[in-house]
Amino acid sequence: MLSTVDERVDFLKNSLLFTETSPETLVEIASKLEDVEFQADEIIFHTGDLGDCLYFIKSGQVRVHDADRNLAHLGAHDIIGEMALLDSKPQTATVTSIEKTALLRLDKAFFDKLIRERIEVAQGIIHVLSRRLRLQDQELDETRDSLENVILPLGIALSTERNLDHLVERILVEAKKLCNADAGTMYLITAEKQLKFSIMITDSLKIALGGTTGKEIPFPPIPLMDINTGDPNFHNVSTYVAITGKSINIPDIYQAKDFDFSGTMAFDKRTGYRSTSSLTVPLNNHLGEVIGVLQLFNAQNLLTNQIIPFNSYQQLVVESLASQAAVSLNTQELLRRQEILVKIEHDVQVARQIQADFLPDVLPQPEGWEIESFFQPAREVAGDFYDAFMIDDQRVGFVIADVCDKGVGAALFMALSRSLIRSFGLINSRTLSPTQGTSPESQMLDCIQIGLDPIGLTNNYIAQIHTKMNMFVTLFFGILDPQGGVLTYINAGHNPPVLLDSAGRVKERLTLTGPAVGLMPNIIYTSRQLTIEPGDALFLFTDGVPESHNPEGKLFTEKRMLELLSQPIPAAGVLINRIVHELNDFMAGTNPFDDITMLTIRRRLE
Amino acid sequence: MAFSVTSKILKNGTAELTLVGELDASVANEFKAAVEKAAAEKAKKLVLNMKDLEFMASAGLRVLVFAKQKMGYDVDIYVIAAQAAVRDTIEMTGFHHSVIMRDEFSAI
Repeated sequence: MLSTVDERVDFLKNSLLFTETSPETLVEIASKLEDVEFQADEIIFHTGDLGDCLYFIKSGQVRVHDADRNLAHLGAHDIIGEMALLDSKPQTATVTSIEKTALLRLDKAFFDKLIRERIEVAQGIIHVLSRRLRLQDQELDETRDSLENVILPLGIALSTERNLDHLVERILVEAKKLCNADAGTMYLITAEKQLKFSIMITDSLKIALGGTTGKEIPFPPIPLMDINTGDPNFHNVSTYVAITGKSINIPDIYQAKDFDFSGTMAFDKRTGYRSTSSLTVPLNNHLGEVIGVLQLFNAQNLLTNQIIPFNSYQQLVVESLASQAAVSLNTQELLRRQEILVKIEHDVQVARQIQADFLPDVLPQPEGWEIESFFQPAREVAGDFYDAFMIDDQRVGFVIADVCDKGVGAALFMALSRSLIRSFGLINSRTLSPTQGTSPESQMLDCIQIGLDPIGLTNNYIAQIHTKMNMFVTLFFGILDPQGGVLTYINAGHNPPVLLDSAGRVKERLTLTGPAVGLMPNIIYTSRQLTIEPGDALFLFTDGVPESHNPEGKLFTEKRMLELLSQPIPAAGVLINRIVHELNDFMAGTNPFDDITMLTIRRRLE
Repeated sequence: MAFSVTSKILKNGTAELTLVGELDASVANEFKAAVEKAAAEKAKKLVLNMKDLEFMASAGLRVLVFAKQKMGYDVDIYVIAAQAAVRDTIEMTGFHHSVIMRDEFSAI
């Protein structure tokens, strides 16, 4: 709306610039002014523009800002653009209207003439600049005070705070205090990439939820990404800040166009509150990752409690507080994880000891035979196992097996499989009456016929009951009669053991007689028999031997393993040592990728 | 080569998965998810095209075990054109008894 000269004179009288100016001169100036109007969110001038005028703000509000930060909010009677006129340099900031804003424009040529001819106007300019200097001094003082009295002590306090709820609450309370803000919320980012409400406070409504209050916050976490499309959620100001790591300072959220504040507005409607100014800052940890978001609402004038925008100084202070807070939160998280790790480490050590009990302390050594083993888990606990035990007075049962995974899961499964096989194996010898067993060699076949095959029973148990993890075990189970050297065996999907003569020639590979245990239920495992002659050695292994890696990632291979076996064999231990030695050379300190297990059964030359 | 699995459900109720690259523990979950999807669609047959699958670790076999359990033991699983290394892995553990190994898909 156009203003009359009288109205303009009344307006100019209240300007600091013209406190000394005579009414006549004011009339002259007023006649040279031009009415200009901007709608909300229009740019009045850009950084770098050459100044050709100055503006008096008649009504409305503008913000002075650069690319990332609001430098000031100005309103009625403030002046903009005068600096570029005084030093003839480009504008140092951009000015944007916050709401509908009416300005009076004074042209550069007339301004220059005024300064030259009217000493009182020049004095007015000095007033304006002095006031600005004083304000800046004051801001510097406040910053120094905040640093000395709030941020540094708070940093120390935060670094010693060990309770997460206390810590989060303290951060929010101190941030609110720094800005004299009425309300605030702290969000923490969860492992599921969501912003979880951690604590929220609105003083004037006497609302305090989360944190140490023990009252639950009734709002669900906000996903950072759209669940369906995976697109970043830039609509919500908190998630925007969490994703971009940039602060957002909004003078009035009801005027904001870039973000969806419908949640906040719904809260206002429910409670009768009026959320206005908002400052949202990220909590960046030392790695530059955003671990949370701090959001403040309604900064208030210290004296009048009138709601005002957050100024650039407050933004700076809250940002540095947020960084301190992030470091403390991070430290706390690291400590928490360390405690968990120590507990896990302890549990794993216990598991390792228990697992060691599942392996035989001493291997049976029937007369005329040698049984030797080697076992090296890739991790603390293993999925491989071996066993050798007396089934009765005469016969030796032995097993080598590989559970299809590594680590604790495989170790638990190993314990299960090993116990089942040993139990079913022992039941075998006890349940058959002497008349059922026609000869020791065929006893296992008899067992299978009457449904007591230890491997078949173990398979059914695992395939029918332990189905959730889809685990399976490859294993070789043998029953040896040391007197005649007859071996009855079942190979359930395991790497075929190698039968060697005394010169190291391969006599036979003991290939599959059935699928790996746990693959599918109701398998009838067939067994085979062969005789181990004097001087022969049976070499059993798990895939950790041929599949060992060297530092270049090459495999040891079964071919190389067989080459090492093809030499005269003076003793069972020699055979195993030969391979262990070569494997160590080959792996050259590489961490083993898989468990390595070997078992050798050798019949001595008579 | 990086692992990938693409799946389609054919009109006759057959789910066809094409596996490419190296299937080890780090990617087995992608294969498992595709099997779960096929199971959810109540596929009557599962065809696994392995022509371009270069390697399968035991984690891949576990997914085959899972497929049998999830889809039911009466749903046939066809393994098509498996390369020698993959075939060895399947045959070594005896799993070829519970799947149908074929050279070509058109044979079905």
